[in-house]
Amino acid sequence: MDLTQARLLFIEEANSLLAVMESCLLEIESGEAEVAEHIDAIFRAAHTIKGSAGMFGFDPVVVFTHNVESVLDKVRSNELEMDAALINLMLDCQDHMAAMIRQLEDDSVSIDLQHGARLIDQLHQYIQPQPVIETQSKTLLHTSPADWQIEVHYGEDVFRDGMDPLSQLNFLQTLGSIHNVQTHWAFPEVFDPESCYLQLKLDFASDAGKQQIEDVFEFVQDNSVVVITTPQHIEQSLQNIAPSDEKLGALLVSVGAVTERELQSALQTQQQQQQQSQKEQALGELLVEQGAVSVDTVAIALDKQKSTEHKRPPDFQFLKVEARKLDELINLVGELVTAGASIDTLLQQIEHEALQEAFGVLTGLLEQIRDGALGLRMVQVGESFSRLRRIVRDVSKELGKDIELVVSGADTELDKTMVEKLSDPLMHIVRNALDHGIENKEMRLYKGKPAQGQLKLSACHESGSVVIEISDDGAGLNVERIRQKAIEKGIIPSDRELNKEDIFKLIFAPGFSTAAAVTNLSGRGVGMDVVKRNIEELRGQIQIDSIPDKGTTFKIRLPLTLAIIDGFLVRIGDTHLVLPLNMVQECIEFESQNENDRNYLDLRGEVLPFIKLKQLFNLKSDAQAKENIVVVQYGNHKAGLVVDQLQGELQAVIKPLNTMFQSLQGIGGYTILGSGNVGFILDIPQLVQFASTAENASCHPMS
Amino acid sequence: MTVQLSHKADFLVAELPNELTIFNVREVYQALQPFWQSDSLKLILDVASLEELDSAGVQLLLWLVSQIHAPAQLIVSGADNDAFARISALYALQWPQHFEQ
Amino acid sequence: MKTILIVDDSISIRQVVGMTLRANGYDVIEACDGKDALGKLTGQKVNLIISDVNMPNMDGITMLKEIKQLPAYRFTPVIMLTTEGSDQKKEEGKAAGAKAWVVKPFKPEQMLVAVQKLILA
Repeated sequence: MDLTQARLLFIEEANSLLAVMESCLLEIESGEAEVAEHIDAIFRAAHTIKGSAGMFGFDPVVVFTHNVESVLDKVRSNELEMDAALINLMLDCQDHMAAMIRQLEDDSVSIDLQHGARLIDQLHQYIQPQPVIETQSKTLLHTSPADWQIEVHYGEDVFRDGMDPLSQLNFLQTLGSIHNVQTHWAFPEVFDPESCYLQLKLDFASDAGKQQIEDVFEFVQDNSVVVITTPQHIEQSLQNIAPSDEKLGALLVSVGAVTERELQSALQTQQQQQQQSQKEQALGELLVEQGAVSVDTVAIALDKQKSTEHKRPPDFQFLKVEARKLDELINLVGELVTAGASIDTLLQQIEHEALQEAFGVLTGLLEQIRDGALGLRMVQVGESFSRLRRIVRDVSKELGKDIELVVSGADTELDKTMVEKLSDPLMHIVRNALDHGIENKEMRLYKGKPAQGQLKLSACHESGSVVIEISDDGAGLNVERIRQKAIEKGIIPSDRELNKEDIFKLIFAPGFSTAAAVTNLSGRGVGMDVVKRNIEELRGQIQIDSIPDKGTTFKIRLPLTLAIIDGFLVRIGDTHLVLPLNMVQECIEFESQNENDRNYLDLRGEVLPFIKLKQLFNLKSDAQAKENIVVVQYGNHKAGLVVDQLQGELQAVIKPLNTMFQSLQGIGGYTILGSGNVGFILDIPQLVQFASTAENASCHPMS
Repeated sequence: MTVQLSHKADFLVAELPNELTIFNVREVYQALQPFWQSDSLKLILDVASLEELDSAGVQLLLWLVSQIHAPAQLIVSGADNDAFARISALYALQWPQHFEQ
Repeated sequence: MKTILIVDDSISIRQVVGMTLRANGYDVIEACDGKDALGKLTGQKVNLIISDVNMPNMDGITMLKEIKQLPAYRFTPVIMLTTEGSDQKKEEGKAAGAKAWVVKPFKPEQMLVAVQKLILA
């Protein structure tokens, strides 16, 4: 292994470590994971990058990462709290490290050294020692009181701020009835009549929720201490709920036993304990200490919690295999499948039952090996989703929009090459949605939508293909504006009448861009036409659905894998054609009286456009042979393909066409059949499109 | 006039103005100094004219009571006036209204 | 009767808030900006001030700082009206002594509740 190769390995390793670091930080930021769960992984990532970079003499990387590592180490030893500001800084550092690594790969990348220096300065601030905060001990409450108990220690400035505890007492009376008011005071040696030394303690019988009660004190909250103890009737409602897998805090908040503020304050204490390397107390214990709830209430809540295991991050321990080796293996498996098919053909000729049976078992195993080998190339689509998470975060911050990203089906598997090639088009669609789709907060409120926008990313398997959907709840596409634009740009003639779907398709036309002002986010010189092309290169299809003011959905349909398909073999004359089996709906006999100028036939009341492949590809066929129609479906469109003979199912290893033939339309590749003949694999999406357009009769791509 | 101090027989009477709020607590506090610092054993705090009272005012009165130690005694007179009664009820405060023998 | 001064350049806000408060037994004085408000304060007993932040002539925070200098009003409670996201203004206002903030847009009942938490009817 020479040094260049080792260097490449380092770059690859560093990139995957940076990805781990990023996803861990983002999970902590979004609250999906605790700091403690991920800090080791984050620290290890920085540590390893520093170590390896040192080996290669990449000193700038070493110096920068060293600072990052030092701060992370302090978090790890609980000397420092990983708060929102620090997470932000760490993400910026992660970005900067990624840029430095990119520069190692590509000299033309320039690094903002000043930005790096600023980051180092910020990191240094965290390396300074932090003041220790005292905690005091309190008496614990074991059983809940009958009524709410409210205790307020007013801050000294309360009167000077114009606040009057009397008005709060008075206001409380509108929510319930007050009993046992005890007014206490703690006058100091030197009494200042303008300072407040009052403390209030009272029982409060009310059906109001805790938040509502706490809100009475909202204006004095800043400099007073308000403790509201949850009464027994809340325990009852806690008893009544179904077991849940929510976290303890969320559970207590949801029944109104604890307010969001109390929970945050307990979590903060917990973190301080971590920092001071004290024994960390359980959240429930802390809430009891705060006087927010009784031991009993916490016990009931804990009971309701299903014993949920904390999700640990995957161990990130994978076996690294050179992509070339994997491809070779898959190629060989492909050949094996082909060889198997030819043996099968021979076996049909010699009638030997035992041999056929034995071969049947072999075929079964072969299929498993094929699936296994293809499975090796499959990765979870979530990998590209997590990159999008970062984009959503950064872009929505930049645009000042509040956008929630909802991801589902991130564990759906897809061929690795596809996941990689998908990443750019997905990024582009997501950027567009963030930039142009989701309106700003004001506009959303004006339209009566929630201020927070939502972007949904989902992936799932659907009848042999993978469907990825990106949908936003934004303004939706403006049909009229798109039409106008297309006319302006000369993409369609001004008198062309189009339906909604066709107008949506216009945004995929080269040189189309609807935004009045192209921002630096979505306008990077890449248009939706490139997105469409990228998807089509993956043998996929993209569709748009949009409802004004409800949002836009992009639906991407992709084949599971690029290498092998289950095919359906047909013949025209002596030309063999293969159709992807998952697109074949049914086969029917072709009656010649169906032939008409417009190439449509009536399929059980449905209009079915058909193509005579013989004419399309200019093939010679047996004049007398009875013709058949194979009905294929792609997306929502059906078409019939007229062929001579149906020959049955087969497994086809897809071989790409020589570049010379790649401009051929309607053919996606070829395969070697068991008989040794060549079979052409039909590009069904394209053919379906041909069929749907009236001009197909005049199109002879193979001639 | 903030506070009216007067001697009646062996009582020292402090008559509070009609307002006792954060805006004038300091002033009233200063004006009351001769009252709580006096040698008189029977102090009367007359709240009958109070019309406006807030928590800062109540606190001053509470403080005043806390400054009087036996054998000196302090009672509140005119405690049945609306503003004073309402606020005392909200805080559930009991004021001494009779001298103990 | 308690008197409330409402300072906002939007006549509709002044009217709606004024109407709600008057219906609930408060006396209401209106001012259209900070300068106008300071003028109206002279010699007038005011128990609570409700003020917008962004206004022509004199903004709410400058007005607040001026009011804090006036002995007769330095402890008068103030409700500041803010729009979401103006955190910086809010910090500035809090430092100047405005502890009660109500986020615009608000419903008249919300304002009434905020008032009731601050002063006795």
